[in-house]
Amino acid sequence: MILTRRWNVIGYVVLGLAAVITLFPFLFTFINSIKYYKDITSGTLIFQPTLVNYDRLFFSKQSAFMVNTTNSLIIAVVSTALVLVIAALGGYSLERFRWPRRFTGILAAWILLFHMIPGVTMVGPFYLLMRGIGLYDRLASVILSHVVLNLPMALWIVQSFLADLPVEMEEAAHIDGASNLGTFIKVVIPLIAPGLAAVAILTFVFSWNEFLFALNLTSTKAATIPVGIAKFAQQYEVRFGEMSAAAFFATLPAVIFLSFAQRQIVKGLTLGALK
Amino acid sequence: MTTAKKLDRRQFLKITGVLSGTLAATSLAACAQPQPAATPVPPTTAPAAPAAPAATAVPAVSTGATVAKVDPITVLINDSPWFPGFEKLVRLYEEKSGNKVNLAVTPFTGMLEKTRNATTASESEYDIVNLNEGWYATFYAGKFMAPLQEIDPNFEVDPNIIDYNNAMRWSHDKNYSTKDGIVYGLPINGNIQLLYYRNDLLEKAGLKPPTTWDDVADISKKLMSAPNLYGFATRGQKAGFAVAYDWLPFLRGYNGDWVAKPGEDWAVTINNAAGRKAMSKWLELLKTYGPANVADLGQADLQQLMLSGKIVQALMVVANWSAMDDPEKSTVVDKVNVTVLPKPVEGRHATTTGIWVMGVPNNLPDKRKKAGLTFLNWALSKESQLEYTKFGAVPVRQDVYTSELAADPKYRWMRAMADSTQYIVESVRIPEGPQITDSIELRLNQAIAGQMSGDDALDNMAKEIFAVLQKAGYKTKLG
Amino acid sequence: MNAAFSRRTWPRPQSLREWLDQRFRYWALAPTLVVLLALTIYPLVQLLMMSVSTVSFAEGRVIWQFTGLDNFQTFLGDAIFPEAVRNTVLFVIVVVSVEMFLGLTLALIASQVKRFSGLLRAILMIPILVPAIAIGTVWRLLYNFEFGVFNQVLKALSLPPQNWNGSALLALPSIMVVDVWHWTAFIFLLMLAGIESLPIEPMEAARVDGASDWQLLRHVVLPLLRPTILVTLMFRTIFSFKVFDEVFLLTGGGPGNATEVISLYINRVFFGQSRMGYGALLSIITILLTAVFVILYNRSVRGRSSAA
Repeated sequence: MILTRRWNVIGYVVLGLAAVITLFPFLFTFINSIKYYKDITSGTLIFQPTLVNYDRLFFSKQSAFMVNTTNSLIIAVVSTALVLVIAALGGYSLERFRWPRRFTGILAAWILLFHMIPGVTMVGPFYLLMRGIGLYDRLASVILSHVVLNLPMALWIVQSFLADLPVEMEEAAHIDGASNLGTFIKVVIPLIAPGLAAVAILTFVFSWNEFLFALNLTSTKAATIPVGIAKFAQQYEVRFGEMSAAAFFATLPAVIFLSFAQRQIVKGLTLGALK
Repeated sequence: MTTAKKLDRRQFLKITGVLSGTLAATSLAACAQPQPAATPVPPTTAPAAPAAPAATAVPAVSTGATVAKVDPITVLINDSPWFPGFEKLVRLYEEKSGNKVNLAVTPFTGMLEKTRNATTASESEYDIVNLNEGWYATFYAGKFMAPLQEIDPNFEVDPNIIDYNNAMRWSHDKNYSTKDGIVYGLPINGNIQLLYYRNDLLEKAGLKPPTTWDDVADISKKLMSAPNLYGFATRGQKAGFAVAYDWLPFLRGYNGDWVAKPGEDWAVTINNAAGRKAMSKWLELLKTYGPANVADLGQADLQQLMLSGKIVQALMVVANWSAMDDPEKSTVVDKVNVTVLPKPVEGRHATTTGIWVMGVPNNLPDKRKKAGLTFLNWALSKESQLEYTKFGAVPVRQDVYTSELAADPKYRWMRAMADSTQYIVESVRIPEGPQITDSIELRLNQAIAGQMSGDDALDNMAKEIFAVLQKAGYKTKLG
Repeated sequence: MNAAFSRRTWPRPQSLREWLDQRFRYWALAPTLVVLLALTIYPLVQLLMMSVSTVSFAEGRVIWQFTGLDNFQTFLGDAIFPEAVRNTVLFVIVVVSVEMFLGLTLALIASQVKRFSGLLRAILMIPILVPAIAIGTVWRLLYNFEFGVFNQVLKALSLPPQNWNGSALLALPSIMVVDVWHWTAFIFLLMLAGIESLPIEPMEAARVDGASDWQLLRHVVLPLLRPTILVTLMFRTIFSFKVFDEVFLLTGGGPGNATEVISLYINRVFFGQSRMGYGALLSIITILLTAVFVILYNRSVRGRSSAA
């Protein structure tokens, strides 16, 4: 798409405005994270900055924040990788190969149905399941639950991107003698790379922020960031300082990872796209 | 084919790059494990006082080498202002007894579900669970807790432990906590309501601390100057058990209650004359002397009002005390004091319990049950409770409240606590409690938000409570 | 569905590799099926069974009692659920419409700007990376009546402070604002991915034909983006039906029932009141409602865009 220069200026202004609006609460969080509680709750602009919130977050005996961060990272990365592989393969199979109409219909309905269930009702059975197979309070249980929760959307995105893709390229590769798997890796994946990148980002983000299942499937060893910082929202008060520090710090690795990964995933996968 | 090979290699390198970058970041994060606690920041310092000789009749387990050696236990508990105190007590126990205790700290939001999951599994993962007043009835009534006297036939409840209206017991015949019920748990946090007020402002104006609600109104009239200084407020927010909890002492103060006599007579009486008086008094106080957004006030907001010096009096719980003298949180350090909750001129004092009890799940082998009980006994002894107080928590023994500690200005809240023990009234302690408090909560919030009149709110509450009780099989009637 | 490769008869495989390759479709789909079968059947079956039972906790166990249409009767007498549905539907319609519009617009613009594109994208991604509980807490601070930033600004301008969370009029819109801030980035990302995968040829052809920017957008770009838009729309709609964290943290459903939403109510029934059978029934009804709503909304959007 080629736009004229006039639009370019307006474009920058609009994006700049959006960036400012987006950043504002985040900056507010950062400022709160270096304030004492009483300064936070008086909303004053002049205050004495302090690092005590971060100190408590990282070094207090009560806080398992570093463990939570590690857990969150591992869970998010692994479940994203699993979802990518499973959904890419599965979506390709469903979209490009002949299956009985009824089978694909039922599968699609089942997946969508599952996606609509309020999380509340699924937590109990999942707890029993994980407890039963001995995965309670292990990262694997949360990873599995996140994979299941994200698979519907991932499959739909992959299939919708594939639906748009003309079949000629793959047929050409087949004529050249490539195997199904080879075609899939060398031809299809680069072509749907933006879709896969979107799936990766969304799965990662969702997993990073997921609270309900992480809370109920873990105790102390496998707890994630959302579970960890929920402890700051207590029965009789909210520990604003620590919560802001945690929120600010928890977002950084995710932002860094994603901006790095997004570009790399798309670039690496589109390399070799036969345009 | 050479192009294909090049693609493969470049692809491979890119993907490896991303993966190793992730791995590197992860291992960096993992390497930065927290050091064992640096200096935690407690509001009180904790010198280990020598154990005072126990003057109680029942030989309680004291802090000494007489504690039996048992297996390590795991305690489920939520993070809260009194948790640091509990944690220090646990470390003291480990030091004195050589027994190990693991703390599974959970956000408050997950406590009920975790407790339920653990107690309904084939074997509980926790040896001790903390039950909030709002839901202990389900666990007692459902026989999910081990009767303490079954674990140890010699077990007896120390009479110095405040019983918070039989919160430790349950009678399966009466379906309620009664004096002769089975002992299923021991209190660990004696949270009740108190009236917080600005001592400095009252003294400057030559006013005495309020004893009746009319005093509260009087003080408010004289001292408030909205919007910078409000006179009085309770919570008004609908949030689980917020505004309902704050209104109950009004109801009880006028000698009303949600049913005629919990445990005996389940006729719904919430909308009788006493209820109406309680409702109108409460509405009047809040609307006249409280902030404009009182319908949105939660516990944190109310505490903030006091801490930032914007309100003269507030109905809060003792758990809020630790923030008052904390220089990081409070702009009114040493300016706040507490007193027994006021009463209506023609009524009585009442304060509602919002306590936590600790119990031992029933789905445990005997050895683990005994280990849990060993800790419980130790924690409830007088010496331990004195240390517990110094660690910043809320003790549960009357002899601690009347001890020498109460004379220390740092513990000036203990006097009000000691005086309040006789006025303790329980909240709604039946398994169907949450449904009932949800109804009271919603209707109260609608009343204070101006969405319906106080009388209509009461009548709606009555209808809903009646429906719940009837469906659950209680012998009840309306009015 | 494209049935491009559907050889019914396969030549005899020469090696294990060929044998595997011929059955590619099966083992490619296998992981999906395994995951779904292993982890979704049990919860769904449990859900159905719970909805026609009463689950109670007594005698030290969980007791399931088949009570048939009992839960349904409770539902018929429930005055709060319809209010929750009304609030949720209103919420979904407003929020999804605004987010789709903003997200699409921002994505279109962002795909054009070359400089700072990486930085801008990273910034615009931030809201969806912050844990929901932190978002709720931060916005509650912003909306605070006494010292929140918005009221401080109003006071500085000599305007009366607003009761953002506590007034029946402002509470739901306040939550909507938070949701828009939170999730527009989601739409933005998906739309951007879609735009970047559009083929260049149709646009170059249209330019050659002398199309203006607006015509390019309406007649070439948007139609090409339609599948992406519809998928995003559907998922965002389903997601927003489940809104919970923001409401829970900002207003708890109040004042009164002004911001009571479905998830909040089911959560209270299920977890707070421990009425699992009834909670399961409400979940099923919610699923049906969501399905109906998604179909209707999709159809109306599809109708409008094809008429354009």
